[in-house]
Amino acid sequence: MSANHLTRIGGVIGGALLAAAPQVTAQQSRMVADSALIATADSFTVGDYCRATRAVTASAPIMTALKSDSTIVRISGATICDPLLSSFSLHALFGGTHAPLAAVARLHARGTQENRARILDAMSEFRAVVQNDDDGDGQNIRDVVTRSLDPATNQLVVRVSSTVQRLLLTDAQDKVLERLARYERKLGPTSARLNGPEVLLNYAAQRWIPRFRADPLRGPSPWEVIASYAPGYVTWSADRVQAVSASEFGLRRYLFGDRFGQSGPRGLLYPSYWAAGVITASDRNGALVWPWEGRSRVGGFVSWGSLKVAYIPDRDGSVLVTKQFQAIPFVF
Amino acid sequence: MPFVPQSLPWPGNRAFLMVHGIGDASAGKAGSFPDDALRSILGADAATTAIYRLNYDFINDWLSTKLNFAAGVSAMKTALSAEMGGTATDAMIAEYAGDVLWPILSMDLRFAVRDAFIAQLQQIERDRARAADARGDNALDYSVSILAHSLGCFHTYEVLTAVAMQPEHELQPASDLVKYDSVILMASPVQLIRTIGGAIAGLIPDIGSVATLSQPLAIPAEQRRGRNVRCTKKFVSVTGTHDPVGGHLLGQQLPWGYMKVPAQKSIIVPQTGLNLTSAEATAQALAAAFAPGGPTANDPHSWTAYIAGQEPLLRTGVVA
Repeated sequence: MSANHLTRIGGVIGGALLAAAPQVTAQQSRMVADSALIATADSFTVGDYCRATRAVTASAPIMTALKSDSTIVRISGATICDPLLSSFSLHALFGGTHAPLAAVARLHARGTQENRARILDAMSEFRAVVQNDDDGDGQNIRDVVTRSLDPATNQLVVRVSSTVQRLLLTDAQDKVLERLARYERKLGPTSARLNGPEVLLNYAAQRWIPRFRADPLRGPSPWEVIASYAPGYVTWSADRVQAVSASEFGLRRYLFGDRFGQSGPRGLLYPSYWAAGVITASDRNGALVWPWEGRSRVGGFVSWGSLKVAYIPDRDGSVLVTKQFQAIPFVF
Repeated sequence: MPFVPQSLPWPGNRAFLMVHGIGDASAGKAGSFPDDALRSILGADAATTAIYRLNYDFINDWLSTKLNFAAGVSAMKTALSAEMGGTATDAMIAEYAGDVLWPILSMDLRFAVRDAFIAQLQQIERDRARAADARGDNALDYSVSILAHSLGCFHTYEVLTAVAMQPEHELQPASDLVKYDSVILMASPVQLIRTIGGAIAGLIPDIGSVATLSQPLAIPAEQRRGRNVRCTKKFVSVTGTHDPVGGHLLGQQLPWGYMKVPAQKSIIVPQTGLNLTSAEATAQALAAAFAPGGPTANDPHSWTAYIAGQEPLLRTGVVA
């Protein structure tokens, strides 16, 4: 949890403390959509959360019921009640809006990136203990808290702790959806189709080469192996356009940036992938010619999306162009 | 088209997530869910229950298209000189074989389905909190149950295990207090996959990330301060005496196919009324269920029939 929060805070602290015009990230744009959550997160401060923790620690019935967990609640409360951050709204704590200027000045002097991460951890710990419905000994702590505090204070405990959890959840969901968008980029409609040998090669690559493996938290590998027969190249030779068949071996790299993965004309500028590798072609031009027939030559190819250009030196018609497609599904 | 998790207003304080099984076989036609059967069981409570639906077929379709799997099946059949029917059959074999194989053999697909599922669980938590906040209630007093069928049980088991152990998703049962009222797996092939996957373990990439194969079966749980906190109060397995996917054949339990998670509540539904008296008849009933048109009257794997027979469990959480 700490590393996770530190990473998050590391990302937002610059925006909150240093940047005059914070960047609008995908996360923030999605959070804007949940206007009720933003309004609630703006309406509560870290100081409000501190008041909630103090009400809990001041209640003898609750602290008795918590037994050894009461220490966790006291430590969490002490961490949350950081006077330097008390004026921060919960929204600002997450970097969703500007921090109060006076607080920024104090924070800047103290460099409190770690303080914020500690506070978020403490808020999670506090909620996990005082809102738990089973402490392991069959005791429902949430019920004890509800009974022991006056309704307004209990409502404060519930709402501030729930708001922080919702902000954490929103942030976590953004990461999951961004990862899923990457999978769609690599597997979905704008990705390159694979032939039979490529299916096997890419399976072997993900099985035995770490760089080709997907990771449950980082998402898909951007790399894909190319091993294909491409019968659709054309070149200019003997004063006319001629077809050329070639074999390609190389690597394809998917572009996971937000602007990429377009289809249609915009896909020419912002495609889903680029590729590079080695190409082999016979010295005889024509469609469906065996690439190693006669005096075959070797060169290189690059592609930007589905557009491919190849250069094979020492050949009549040395510059080849084509568009990525499969003439016969699953075969080539 | 980016995946957008389903978001629903909560009319009351209870929700179900229905997780679809293989292809369209669960409910008879493309993308359909037997939520009518569930609503019928819930009766008046249906009006105050949010019913979410998760179908991950679109991700299977990405890979199926990318790999031209239907063409691959045709090529394989041609190579084997097998007479198994025309192109419609190829497409059907490709769809169902792919649905079962891809999550095991393709890491990309396995994790993509997992992420879609996780995003849906996160959305349900967000909706729950929003509904409770708007009414001044505590969201933790609102309940969520998961109702999965067939291969959906495998994905449910995998996802709940992953989110219980990984703090990054904010869905842990102890640290984040995300506990499901009940997790009901109907005709679960988890043990079947465990047995078959175990036999081909060497072929499975990153097998350690498949909970079904890499560790003893257990109710998904988080370890926190020496305590094992489960993701649900009720982990229920429902299967029929004649449903091979659920580990039974002609009334006999198949030890290598029946999911036995320690502490699970087990319900075995008698299916003698289906008149399945031979392995061939069972195979035919299943084949008919998976064919275009969907489940037939004597389908031992019908999700609708499983739901219709579990009124006490679905209405009140009581295992009859």
